[in-house]
Amino acid sequence: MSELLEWLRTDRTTQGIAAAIAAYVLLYWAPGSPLPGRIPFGVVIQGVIYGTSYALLAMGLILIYRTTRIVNFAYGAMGAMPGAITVGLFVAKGVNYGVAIFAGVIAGVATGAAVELLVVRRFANSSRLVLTVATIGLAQVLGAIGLAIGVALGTDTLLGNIDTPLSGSFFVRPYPVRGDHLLLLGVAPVILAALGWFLLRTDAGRAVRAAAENEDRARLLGIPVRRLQTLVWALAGGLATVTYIVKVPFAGITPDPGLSASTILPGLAVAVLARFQSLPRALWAGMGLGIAEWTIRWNVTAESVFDVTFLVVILAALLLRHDRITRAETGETTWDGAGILKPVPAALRSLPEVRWAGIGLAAVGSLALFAITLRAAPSTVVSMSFALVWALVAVSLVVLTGWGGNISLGQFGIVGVGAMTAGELMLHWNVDVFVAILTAVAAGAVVAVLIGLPALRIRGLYLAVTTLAFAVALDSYFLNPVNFPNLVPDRIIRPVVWKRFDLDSQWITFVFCLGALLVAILVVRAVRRTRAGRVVIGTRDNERAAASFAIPTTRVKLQTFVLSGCLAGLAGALYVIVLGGAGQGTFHPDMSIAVFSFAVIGGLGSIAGSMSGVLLFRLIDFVLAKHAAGSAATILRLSLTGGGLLLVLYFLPGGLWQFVHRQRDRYLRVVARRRGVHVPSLVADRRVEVSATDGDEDRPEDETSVIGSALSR
Amino acid sequence: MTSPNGKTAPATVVPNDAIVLLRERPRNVLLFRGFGTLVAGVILFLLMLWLAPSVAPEHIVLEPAATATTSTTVMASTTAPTVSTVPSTTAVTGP
Repeated sequence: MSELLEWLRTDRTTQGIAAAIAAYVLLYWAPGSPLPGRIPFGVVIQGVIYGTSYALLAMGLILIYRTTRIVNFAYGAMGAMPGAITVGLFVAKGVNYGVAIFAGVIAGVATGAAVELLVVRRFANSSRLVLTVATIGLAQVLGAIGLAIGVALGTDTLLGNIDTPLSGSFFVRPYPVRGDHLLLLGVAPVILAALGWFLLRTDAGRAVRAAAENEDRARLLGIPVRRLQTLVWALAGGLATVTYIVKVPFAGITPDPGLSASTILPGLAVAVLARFQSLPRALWAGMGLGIAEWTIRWNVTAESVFDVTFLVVILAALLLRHDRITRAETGETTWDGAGILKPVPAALRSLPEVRWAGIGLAAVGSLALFAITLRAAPSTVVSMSFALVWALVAVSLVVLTGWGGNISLGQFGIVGVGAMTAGELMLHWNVDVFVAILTAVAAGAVVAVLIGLPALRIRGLYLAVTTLAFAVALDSYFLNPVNFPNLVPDRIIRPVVWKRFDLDSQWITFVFCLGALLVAILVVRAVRRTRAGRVVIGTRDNERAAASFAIPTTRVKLQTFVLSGCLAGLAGALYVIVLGGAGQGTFHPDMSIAVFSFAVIGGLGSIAGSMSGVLLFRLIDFVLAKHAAGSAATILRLSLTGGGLLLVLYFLPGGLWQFVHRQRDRYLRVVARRRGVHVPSLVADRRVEVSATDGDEDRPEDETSVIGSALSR
Repeated sequence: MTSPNGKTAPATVVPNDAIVLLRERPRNVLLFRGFGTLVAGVILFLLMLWLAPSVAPEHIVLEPAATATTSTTVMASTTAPTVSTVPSTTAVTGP
């Protein structure tokens, strides 16, 4: 408590937030208050309650960020999975509430430790951004386990509030205040004080902070870094579970297992306000944001307007951030897990067996696609059209993440903007479909630049946060027909292309989408081969070196956003044509996370890789929809995507396409050997056994000897 | 022709000299300062919009027959084309 008071005395931001809260409370009671409408005190109380829950969420995110330097997108799932045990034991099995909570928290601590040992430690040498992406996969795996626990305990279909022994309430106009609310309000300061004591006062806490700043130096000083990390993750697991357990009785069980964007978004907004650093600031910011949210709820009739508030808060906090990035934050903050996929070496490219193998594979693929399309039922053709649109979104991610190194977790938000634009133009203005598509492309580019602006200053992790916030706001607010009844194209009349080809026909729509995808691929490949493409890659790999070669790196990054936004806008226009309309839920934020996961699994380093990943998982979804239903299908899908993402990031950083490339290289090596062509790039990275005659047998095989031996063959 | 330093430049250049050919500056064949392709594309796009518009069919309203008092509007549908009959005074004419 004395620490809090000290903070209030010295920290200007905390003082500002406290002053704003005090002014608000005073203004509320003042006659003729300038606040919009008179806000009952009960609304403020609700704001404080929910704001405290956001602060608890943010504290866990900050704890992980301060020790591991990642945004842990699995944090919500780390709490929900063990929380399912508490809920199941208490609701379905009738176990004492206290015992159920204790069991849940113990499971949470164990989950946190297991996550560190099994996942986080495996990525110790990877880029922080790769580990951040791994947490997305982890969230899905934990979501699947949580759902399986729910199925086992019979609570998988349970939704909404839960009555607990603390559910007794009293009334503060206009809302009841439950005992569960008071438990949450009591728990938050205790956790804050405990975390503050741990990080600031204990040797372990100091060592954890030191290791986060410079892990190597901490090790040299004899700090057991890994053991401490396990401890921190175990603490984070327990904290996440407590957060879930104290909130679930009144906030209800969410229907989205895994990484639920709308659940984690308030925590991310608060953490960004606290700059992922200050725990007390997170508590004040959370309360302030909660009060703002409930004030808006009380005064504004529009639905989900607070999701826009979160987006605005995140964007403003990032744009107004003046402090320098810390040393630990300046490390690897771009996506470099895309792997390097080499083109066919020039010496082999013109050989007939290489050329014809490529042509043959392309022909076989095209024929298979043609045959499947001809034999497919109309509903299957519609699914295939959707898959093509998803593939287009994957291509946009290749540009943004594979080339540019910035992660977008809200790409379907930009797709939604394209869909709204094109749908509106076609529905209310009967504009030519090609003009509507071009306008959607332009709208996608503009929105991508606006959302990406904060990422120009702080790369990598923060674009993921802003795009996620945008995807949630777009789906719940902008595409909400209650808010914009005339702007949401709920049902369009599909146009007839060139007065001849009616897009009401599923086959014609499929061909239209295929054509658009091919054009987009040709454009992207052309850009990649020019200087513009090389400059993007160079800026991603080493921004300072690129700048020293007089490359305008800011403009290059903006160009990446523009191209990616154009492709996403095009995908939106196609989506609205295939679906025949768009509305709330059409571009659910979880779709953005799914498409990103699929693209990473396929391989974000290449267009073909990312597209194949997306098409593969669309096929899996299609099969699952036919043969499995309910919780079983969800568990299977989450396990495949989440587990697949983790395995691919660990074993094949270049995605499944890297495996395809290895087979191609194996074939090319055979061709090169038969033709007697020496291709250094094919053998330079291959381990060649040094024969015993080469010299000392005990000498370890070093890189020089491997390459030298390979080249001499 | 005599240069300021008093030397006389060679009167003719051997046309078959490869170096000379290489040194020849290419003629500027760019149309519209390099934006010719874009301009051509825009013109073709506008022509496409004008000659073969791709719009929704329900806005194509047939003229009412001379003897009838109704007009026919062809509606697009996901299942089957629907023919609706609306009074001529309220015919759909587009935005």
